[in-house]
Amino acid sequence: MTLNKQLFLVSLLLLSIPWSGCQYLQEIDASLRSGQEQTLRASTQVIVKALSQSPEALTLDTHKNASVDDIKVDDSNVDRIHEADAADSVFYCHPMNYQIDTDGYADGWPKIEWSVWSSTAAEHVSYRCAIHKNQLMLFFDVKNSEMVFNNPTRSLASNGDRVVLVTGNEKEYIFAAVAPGKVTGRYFKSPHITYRESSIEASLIDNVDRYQLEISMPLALVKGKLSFYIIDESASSSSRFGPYEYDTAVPELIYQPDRIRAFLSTYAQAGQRLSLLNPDGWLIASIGTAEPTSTSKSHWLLQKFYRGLLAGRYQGQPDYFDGVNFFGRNEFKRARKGQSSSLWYKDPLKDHHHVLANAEPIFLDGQVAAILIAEQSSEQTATLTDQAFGRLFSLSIIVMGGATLTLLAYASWLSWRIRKLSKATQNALDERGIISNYYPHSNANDEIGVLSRNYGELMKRIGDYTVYLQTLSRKLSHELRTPLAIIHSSLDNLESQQLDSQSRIYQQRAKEGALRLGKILTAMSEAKRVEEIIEHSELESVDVIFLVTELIAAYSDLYDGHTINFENNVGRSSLLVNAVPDLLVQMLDKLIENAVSFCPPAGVIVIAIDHRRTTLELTVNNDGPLLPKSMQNQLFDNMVSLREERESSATHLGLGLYIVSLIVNFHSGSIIAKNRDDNRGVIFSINLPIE
Amino acid sequence: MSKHIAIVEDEINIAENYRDAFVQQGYTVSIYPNRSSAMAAFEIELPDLTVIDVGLEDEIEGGFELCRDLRSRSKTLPIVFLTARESEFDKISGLRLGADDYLTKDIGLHHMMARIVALFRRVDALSGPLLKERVITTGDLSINIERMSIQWQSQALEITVTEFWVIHCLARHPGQVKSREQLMEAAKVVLDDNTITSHIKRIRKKFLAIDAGFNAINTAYGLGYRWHV
Repeated sequence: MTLNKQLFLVSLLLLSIPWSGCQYLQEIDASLRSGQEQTLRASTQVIVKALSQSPEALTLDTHKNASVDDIKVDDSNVDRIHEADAADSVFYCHPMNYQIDTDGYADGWPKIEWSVWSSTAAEHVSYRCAIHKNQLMLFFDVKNSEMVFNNPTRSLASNGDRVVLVTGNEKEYIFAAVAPGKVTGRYFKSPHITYRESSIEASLIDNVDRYQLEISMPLALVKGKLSFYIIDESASSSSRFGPYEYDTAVPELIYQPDRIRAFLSTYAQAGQRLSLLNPDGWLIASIGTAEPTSTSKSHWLLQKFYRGLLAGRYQGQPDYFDGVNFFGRNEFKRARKGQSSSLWYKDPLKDHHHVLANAEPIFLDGQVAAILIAEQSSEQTATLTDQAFGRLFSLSIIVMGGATLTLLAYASWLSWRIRKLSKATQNALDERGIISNYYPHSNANDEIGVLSRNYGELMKRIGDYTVYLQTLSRKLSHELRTPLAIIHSSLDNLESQQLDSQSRIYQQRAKEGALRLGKILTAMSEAKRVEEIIEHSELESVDVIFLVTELIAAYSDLYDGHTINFENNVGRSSLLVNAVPDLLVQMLDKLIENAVSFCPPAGVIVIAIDHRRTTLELTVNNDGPLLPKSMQNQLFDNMVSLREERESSATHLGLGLYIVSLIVNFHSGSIIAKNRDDNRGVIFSINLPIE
Repeated sequence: MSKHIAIVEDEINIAENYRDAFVQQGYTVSIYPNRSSAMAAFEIELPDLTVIDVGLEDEIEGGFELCRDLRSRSKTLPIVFLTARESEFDKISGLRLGADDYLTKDIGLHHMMARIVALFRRVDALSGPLLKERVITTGDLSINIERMSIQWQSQALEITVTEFWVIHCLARHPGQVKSREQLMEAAKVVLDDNTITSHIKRIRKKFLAIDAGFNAINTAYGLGYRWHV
């Protein structure tokens, strides 16, 4: 892995910046939310306090007798708490801001809940109720297999299928249709006489298996209480069903009085919905909306991302539901027991939106008289965290990007320097293993600079040492020549003296030794002399084939222990090359000498010449031991000898192949040594450019 | 009167060995360890032959200096370099300065003696009256052994003693291949093959300077050289 990649991986640690930022953000979010809870609770409690100090505001009903004072009203309310589970109110009037046309069709109605009363499949009625100003609007959808219309000739109201409303003013209003269309509302005064109530408007529509009845009547008529029953007549019998039983109390009509609404609206706050409930959970007054007052300005994608991040904290929140009855909600249940509580809801319609609901019971005389629920959207605080996140995100991106780029640039710079160093080190040794004089000097004060300088120093020393080694043989041969001359001349002088035979033998031996020493010295300086010859050589046109043919004849005489063959693959009897013939001869001398010394007795040495497009390939191929892999490249270096110490008579200083490579290089050729494919010998292959 | 040989050599052992050998042959020998002492002596009287080492005590090329001085004073004084330096460059420098021969210290005493004798003979022949001369003539080449001089197409060739013997050896038996060893033996030098090669090269150049069409010396690859007519 390169330094760059390593540093890139390390720089991934920078991702911890946004991660820790997110952690921090979650903390902020949590504290903001708890702050929101507290604020909401505090403001709710203020309203509750105000409400409980003006109990008249909580006079929820209009049906109480004038004689019943306010406290009594509350008493009855408290009483009714205990009944609430048993007998729910029959009618809850949804507040409307317009008058619905009384035509029997459900079209004019907004989407408000249906109340259903049903005992059997046949006795089924859906109904709903709304209020606009002081006008009460009712809609009944009654299941009915066969419509029996009122026969006005029999009685005005007591025959035919009909709906009877039971009210708080002890009147029962009967709606019996003579025909589809307008229906007249009537009430009994005395058992047999019905009166027409002209302030009531009603319409009926007859369908296949049902009829729909729509009624509009003044709120004052019902005196705060309302129930109903239905009489279904058929040819043979008549049946009665519906929520109202004989001789029971008429349940209250629940609606949202404008008076309370007006009172409550003084506490209205933007972005907050206040709902006043009666202890049964019915909504008495509601103002404001929980819609946030401000919307987040950050990018939707960013928003989605960070809200997704926070979503984990809000797992398990119940879905928010809105309605006119809060009975099913937990904070309501607690408030009914007198505890104030806050609860978070998840908005099922909008992703990552939450609603905070805070319920506070309102006590009058130690009893829960009403419950105030304040609701607020999480967006109120979320916009703040949104902004924080937006800033955090952009800052993180900038910091991360900047830091990553800086790190990358730094890494690139470092690796560039190291590469430069490594390249310089690589180039310090040229192909022929000679250390170049140039090594870049670094002035940097850091470790790489020190390393570079140390390398430079090392290279310089190795270079000096190599030069010393290379010149050692020459110097040595030069230095040894003088003492050798002393020995030679002394022995020569001795020779001309009168010596006894024993002394003569010793003199002769000393002379032989000195001669051999001289040969060794000559061999040692041979490479240097070849270099000098090369400096003074001029190329001439040489017929290589003729040259090699002549040489082979000479070699065959010289090395009669081996077979030396010549293969001419050129297809011509002459091939001219620009070369120095003496050097070529010397090169071949060295190669053959080398081949012969490695070739086992009776082995074969083949010299071949081949002709490539622009080069001449001269190969010397001998049986014998293989080249060790590790040494193949150094074979042509100065003073490298692969010979085992087996023959002490010959002098091998490792110069032979070095001389060959000197000559080949001088002729702009190339040489490689490799093992033969059959692994039983070695091939030296020389390529020389053809004229 | 015996011939006077001056040996300028800082290595006293060698100088004395040579002196002993020369004295035995009847020469008078003086030894000078450095250039200044040699020059001082040469101011008074020039010897008949000088043997000079190239490196003299502190002077690395003191021998060359000395040679130049001597040559400026006498055109005919035989000067022989005897040195441990064997590089081509030194050899060429020495010969260019007008030395008559350049010998390395590998050479045996006997060989050196032979060369010195030959040199004296040449000097004598040049200065003495023309007696019956031994001249070998092969084609355009004529070799005067007494004078140790060689002419090609009647033009004298400026050659050293080594070169003389090499040409002599080759031309005596035209067509016969002479190996490097044989040539070395003839020139009475102990040299390696390369040096023979460079001698041959130099000889060819000298011939070519007279006659651009010269190609009498043939290379027998791997064997040696032959005189071709």
